[in-house]
Amino acid sequence: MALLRRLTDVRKQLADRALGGGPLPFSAEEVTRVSAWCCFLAGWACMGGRLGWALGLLIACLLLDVADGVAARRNDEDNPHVDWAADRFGELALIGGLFWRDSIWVGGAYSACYALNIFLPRWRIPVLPLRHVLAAYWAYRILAG
Amino acid sequence: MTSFTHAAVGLGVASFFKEVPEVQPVYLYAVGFSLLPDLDHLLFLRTMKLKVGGMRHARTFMHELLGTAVWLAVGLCVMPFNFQLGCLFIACLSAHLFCDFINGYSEPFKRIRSAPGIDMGKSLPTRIAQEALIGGLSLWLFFAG
Repeated sequence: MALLRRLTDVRKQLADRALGGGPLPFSAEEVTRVSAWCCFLAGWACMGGRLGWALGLLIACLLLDVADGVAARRNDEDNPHVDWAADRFGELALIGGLFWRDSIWVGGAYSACYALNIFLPRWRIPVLPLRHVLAAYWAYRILAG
Repeated sequence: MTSFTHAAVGLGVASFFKEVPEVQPVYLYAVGFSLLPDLDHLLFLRTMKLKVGGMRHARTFMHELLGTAVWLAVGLCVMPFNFQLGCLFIACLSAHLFCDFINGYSEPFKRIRSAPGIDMGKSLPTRIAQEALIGGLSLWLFFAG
């Protein structure tokens, strides 16, 4: 748990440094919105069998997910629940495509982890990095042909 | 989002399944599934108002994250009997719940834990743009796909 927290802190510091100093011209909520749409469109790209597009959109979603944290810190916004909810609804949008284009086992495992992610914060347990794992899996599938 | 947009999104999802004989007539199923979550509005018929924001209270937990788990479970139960229909059900339901979250007021963590409500649709131009974009994309997929 401590290692996870340390990794998150390092990621935040790197993202803060990468996006420079000063306030950003957009709100964290707008970045979260675009990130969620990227996830939704990744789900549709997967459903359409365009795995390359799906991976690209999912990576964009993950990068924007980091950027919305930076925007929130810079602009002094404190609405983490918006980000959490958008992440969960984004994850939901990927399930149909996974079942349809991948195996039932991948879809089933993803669905079980998604359901866990809804309830884990209730017991103060960090959520599973579902989209990160999925991006790695899709990258592997594309490389493996 | 409006029922018309949900129906259009259903047609968009159906375009990924149109060659599948097990789910014919796919457009009928897809539109039906896409409108299904809105049945909970019927519980609030007396207090709903047909104006912007007049239906923000007219939703049960079935429109929120807990509802996503319930709908997902229903879809998984359909799969052993008709796998393709189960996939279509999950894809349509997840698209509906995502669209309602990103374009309006919601309380995603209702009955899970206490968290404030989220209004992703407080800007009317953003709402209109989102409806037009997703509706347009879905209809384009339906007619051109």
